[in-house]
Amino acid sequence: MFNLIRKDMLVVRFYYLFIVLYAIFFGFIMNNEASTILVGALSAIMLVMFSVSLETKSKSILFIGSLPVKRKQIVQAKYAVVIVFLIIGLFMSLLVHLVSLYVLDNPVEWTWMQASLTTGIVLLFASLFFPVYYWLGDRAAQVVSLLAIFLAVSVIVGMSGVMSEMTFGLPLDTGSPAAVLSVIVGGTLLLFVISYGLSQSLFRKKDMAG
Amino acid sequence: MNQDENVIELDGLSKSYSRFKLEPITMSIKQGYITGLVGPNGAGKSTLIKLLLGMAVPDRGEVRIFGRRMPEREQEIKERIGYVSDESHYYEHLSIGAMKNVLAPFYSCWDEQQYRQLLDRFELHPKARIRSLSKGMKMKLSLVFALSHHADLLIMDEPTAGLDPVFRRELLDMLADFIQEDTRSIVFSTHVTTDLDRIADYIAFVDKGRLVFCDSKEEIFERYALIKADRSLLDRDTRGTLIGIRETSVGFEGLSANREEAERLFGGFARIEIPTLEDIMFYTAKGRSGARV
Repeated sequence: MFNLIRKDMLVVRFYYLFIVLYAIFFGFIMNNEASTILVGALSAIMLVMFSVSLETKSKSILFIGSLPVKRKQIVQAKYAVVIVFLIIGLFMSLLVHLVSLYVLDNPVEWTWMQASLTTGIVLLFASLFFPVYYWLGDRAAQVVSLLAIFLAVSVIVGMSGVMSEMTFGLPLDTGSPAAVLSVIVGGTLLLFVISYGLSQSLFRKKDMAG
Repeated sequence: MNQDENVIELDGLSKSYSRFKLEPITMSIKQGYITGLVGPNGAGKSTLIKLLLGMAVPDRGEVRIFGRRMPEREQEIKERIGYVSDESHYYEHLSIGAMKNVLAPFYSCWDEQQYRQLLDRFELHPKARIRSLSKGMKMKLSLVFALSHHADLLIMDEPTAGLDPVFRRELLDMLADFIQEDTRSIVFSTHVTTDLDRIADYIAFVDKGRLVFCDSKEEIFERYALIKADRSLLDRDTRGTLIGIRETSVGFEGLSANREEAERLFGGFARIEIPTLEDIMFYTAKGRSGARV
């Protein structure tokens, strides 16, 4: 499975540049309460989408199907790489925060709450995207992914108003924010696990089509 | 496994799509030989290959490769298979070298020296982008990858389609070299039967989703007969013995799957020849309704 994760990371290597551009645009140019989440979540979501669309475009599932891997591992790797891309997204948002804090005189907020919201949005996206991808194929997944991104951006922008009223930067062990954080991450993680099981069951019976 | 063993065994393998059905297929493919999988376009050759490799899920039946069951032992089986498809399914935006970096770690027996030698032989540059390669060059690249991890079984889906005659001949020579080792086997699907006339040891013929035969080339040519005679010899009984007929204003040409019977019925009044694989494919696909010229 490690090689499949590595494959997805290598395949999108030119697209890491887009992530830098997102960071510049959403982090520094469009600097607001939602910047951290936009940089983190969009980076991860776009990397997932790039890797899937490159696979679809080249019909590479047929190449993957010929590799010495089990079917189960193909789905496992897709979900594992979401976590890898999420970490990259979170790292980028932290980087934006640090650069804005120490280099620029316009600090972008980075809190555990924002990190947990980023995590929740990415896990929610993947939980919706992959079952549709394995069930109805690439075209439906493209539609779903566009809707999901629109939804994600709407949620982020909508949340930015709410977030500005919430207390950011509280330590993890302070009552309510820690509970909210746990619910967001725990809930979406549960959805992610259910989605993984569903994708496995769909892909088990599916022909790899070119 | 020795030379007499089967590299692939299929038992009642079937698959249905909305517009196509692969009837249950039971056959075995011998180790150490080149087996040609022939049939007209849409006959089910690619479906069969996808079922072999676990890319398609069969409705029923069992696949064993190297004596091991698919898909339970999929990973270890595929370590020993080199697959060449009719089209390139590599990531087109990557260079050859980058694609190799993606592919190589999957194979424990990846041979970097062999890879470089094959790239040189085919005049492929590691920095060339895959999307910039011609169809022939992409086919060469597929071969480079398939032959760089010491595969014991090469499965090739229409590898000669769209290739120029020079490279076609070179490819067939390469396959003949590859098979020199007794432990290696090749399954080669094509609708261009002249390629198989040249190199195949066994032929599996698939038509309309049905396996017509899977035998050695010698057995096939001993069994089938091409009859050329005057139309006056055609009556209901003689027509019934022929698989396919092509009639002209002066005579007919027909294929029989029983040479002895054909000689008994037509001998002395007709020319009885050994058919080519193309003749067998043509008459079987066309059937008795045949062509009238």
